[in-house]
This record gives sequence, C-alpha cells and structure tokens, in this order.
Amino acid sequence: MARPPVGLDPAAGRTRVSWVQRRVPLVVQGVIGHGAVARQLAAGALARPEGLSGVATRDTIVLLGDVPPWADGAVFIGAEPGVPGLWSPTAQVSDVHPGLVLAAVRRRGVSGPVVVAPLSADRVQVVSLADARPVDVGALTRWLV
Amino acid sequence: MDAAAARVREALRVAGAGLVEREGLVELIALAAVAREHLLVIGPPGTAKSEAVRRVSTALGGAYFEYLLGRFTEPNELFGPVDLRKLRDGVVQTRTEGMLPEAQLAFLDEVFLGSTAILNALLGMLAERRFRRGHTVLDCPLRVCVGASNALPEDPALAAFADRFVLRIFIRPVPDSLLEDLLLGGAGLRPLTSPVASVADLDALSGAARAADLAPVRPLLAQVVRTLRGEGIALSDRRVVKLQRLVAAAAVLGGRPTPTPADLWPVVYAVPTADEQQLARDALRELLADAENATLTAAAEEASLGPLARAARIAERARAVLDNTAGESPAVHRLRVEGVLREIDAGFAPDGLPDVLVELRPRLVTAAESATSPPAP
Repeated sequence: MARPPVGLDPAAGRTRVSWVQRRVPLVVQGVIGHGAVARQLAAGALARPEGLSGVATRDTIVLLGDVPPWADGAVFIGAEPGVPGLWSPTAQVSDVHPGLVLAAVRRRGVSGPVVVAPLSADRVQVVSLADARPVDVGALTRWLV
Repeated sequence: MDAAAARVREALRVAGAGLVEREGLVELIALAAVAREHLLVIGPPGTAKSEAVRRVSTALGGAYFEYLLGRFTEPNELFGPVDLRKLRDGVVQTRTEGMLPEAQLAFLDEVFLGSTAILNALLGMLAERRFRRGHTVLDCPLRVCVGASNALPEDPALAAFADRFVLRIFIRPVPDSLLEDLLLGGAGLRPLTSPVASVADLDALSGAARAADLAPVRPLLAQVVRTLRGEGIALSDRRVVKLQRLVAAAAVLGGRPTPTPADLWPVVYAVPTADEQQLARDALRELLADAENATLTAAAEEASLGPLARAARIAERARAVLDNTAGESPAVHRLRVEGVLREIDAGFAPDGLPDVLVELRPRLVTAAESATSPPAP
C-alpha cells in the first residue's frame, strides 16, 4: 500500500529531532500510529471509513480526514504551515526548523507529501503519503489479519 | 460575589447544553450583561443565534424582549403603542409595559434593518439606557441588548449605531468534525422554562466590576491597544475606554476581584471585524498567553488561543461528557468520549498535558475502552 517508513535514527548521527509543544495546535487532518496503536486506528477506520483515506506499511498506519479515529498513543497530524509537503504532529513541532526536517527527508529520497512524527522518545517515523488512497474496507481488513 | 458568579456559571452551562460551537456566544452575553455593554452577533441564518440568546435570557432570568426587525417595522412594535386617551389631551405618551423600554435583556434580530426612527430611539437606549419618545422619558432597566445580523452594515450612516455594540462575535456553521454533536444536541434540545440565576446576580457582579481596581493591568491594556494599532486595527477612543469595563467584568466572572493579565482577552471581541479579530488573536498571542476564565472558558479560549484557556474549556467538555450519559447508547457515548480525547491529544503533547487534564484524560480513556467497540456509522 505504501513505501516502508524511513526511521531517522539519531543514533546514526544523521538527523537529530526532538519535539516541543506548539502554542497553537494545527488543524487535525489525520492521525498516525505504530504497532498496536496502528491496529486500533485501523479498527476505528473500519467502523467509520467515510471520508478517510490513508496509507499503511507493515507496522504503521496513517489515516487522513477531518475526523480521524482516536487510539491511545496515536499522534494527530496536520499540514505544517509554510512548509508545503510536510505533515507534522498537531500538538508538537520539531526543534529543528520544519523546513530543514523536510529537506533532510528529501535527501533520503522520499518525495511527495510526507509525515514526520515522533515514534518514541528518541526515534521519529517518516511515512510518505504519495500512495494514500481512500480507505478500502477489504484491504484494511486483510491488513489487520 | 463568588456565589453570584457560580450561579451565572451554572446558568450558562444549562443554557449552553445541547448547543454546539455556541459556547462563546452564550458566555459573551453574560460578559456584556456584567460589563453593561451590548453584543452584536454576526452570522448566517440558521446558526442558532436566536436560540442561544433565548436560552441564556431564560437561564439568567429577568424581563426579556425579542423582536425580528424589518424595513417596515413600526416603532410601536418595539416601544409600545401611543396611549390614545392621553393623546386626546395632547400628550404623546407611550405604553411601554412588556415592551423593549422595560426589558432587562433584549434580543433584536436583523437589528440594522430598523427605520431611522427606530435606530435613533435605540441609540439613546443603548448608550444612555434612557427611552425618549414624545412626552415619554423613561430610565430603562436594560442590562444587555444583543443585536444580530447576517453581516456588518456597509452603510456609513449606521456606523455610529453599530459602534454602540462594543462586543462582537462572528458565528459560522458547525464544522464537519462536530456534526455528530450537532445532531445529538439538536435532537435533545429542550426549551428552558425556569431561571437558574437572576438579574440580581448580574447586578452584584456588575457592582463588583465597577469597584475593581484596574491600575495593575492598565499599562498592559495600553500595550495591547498599541499592539493592535501597530497592526492597523483602529479602535475608537470610546471603545478603548470601554475595554476596561470588559476586563473588569471578565475578572469578576472569573472569580478575581482585581483584574490580572488573565482577564485581558475580551479585547479581541471589541475589535470590529472578523478579519481584524483574527489578526488581533495572532498579534496578541503573547500578551494573552495567561488568559483563562472559570466561567467564560470558551470565550477566553477563542479570544486568546492560549493553552490554559483551551485546557479549561476541554476539561469542562470532558466533565460534561463523563457525567452526562443519560439517554446515550454506549456507541454514541464512546463517540463523544473519543471526540474529547481527540481534542486533548491533538492539542497537547503527552508530556505537556496541563494539570487540569492530567486527571481527566485517564478517566476518558477508561470510559472509551469500557464502552463498545468502535461504533458503526
């Protein structure tokens, strides 16, 4: 359904990104989850698929829409103002200028719209949205199994 | 004062229950009433403007007058008929019983469509709280007049009248993300029949606001106005002076006898146009960072975009969702709980959760998990 997520590992010395609280959150336009959280999000999307599109890898799912499902631990995302193509957490912003974050992602060959969000305290997750498509209940059910 | 503020807070909660995205409007009516100013509501038809005003008026008690103005509305329809018996004696006296001159809370829909005669009489009532017509001169008990219109008037002749509405709120249709709440709230909306607070409560708070010492915040208020002017937002001198009333009213409604920087947010609603209000929010972001109000949670948040005010408003919504499950199916309850959780998680990082939400979020998560599986559409 999509390209594999590209983890930017600070331990590898490539890109160091940490996250700080935004004063004014972005408008919610989607949600991203990994592992068990991703599966809960998928279950929510199956129950209410209207208006949702998305992209999934083996362990990660991104669902786009004005009212995406909620799951504990999921990260809500929105388009980063002033940085076309970059989708960021609605509640947090990278301490590195988001434009530089996107440039770093592009250098790794990821094109099109892309989500960059925290995965854990010391890892970020990068998911391309280039292949996002409307939620297909059958495909999503198979993904869950 | 605290007891009066608590009753007004409860009145606003009751009045606003079932209305979606109209919390700010509901709260600004109370702010205007305590500040002894008037509120202009601008928004398209069918956006619950009149329903919100009606519910607040019932919940606050007091004599209420409501009228939909048109181009052919006669002054008699608002102010009362001329007393024909006295007219025979050459005295033009108006019988005002039950009409606008005797109202404590008033709602005038399509307010700018009134004739010149009506608007002139209204101008005096709004500015001086005095009704003059023929031989009738009457002190009006009016606490607040809410005017509504689909748009701001473009006719410069109406500018002086429009300027009497110091507070302004711009209403938009409910967004897609809240349509479920709209459908649920609309279906369950019941008319209010009895007051929760009283005009005496408003008067007590007004008295406290008039007595409030504004000296501590006056320099900051001046800075706010300078910042607005720097952005090209012009406030008339009259409006600038009246800002102090709004700030004092916000303070007493928030439980503070002396205004603090947390009470400066009403300034945004004194900015005349929707675009300028948005500009003001951005320009004043830092100056209004401490904004919060225990009674006017939504209005404070919408004005300041501040995290504390936002957290307080979400907490209020969370408590309402957790405490009011009567008549809800588990699926709908889960939907509403998830709506609040979505708002929390979309607005605050896990390690940046404000204190007021730290205890509520786990309760919401438990409520979501103990409800059914995700509801079918």
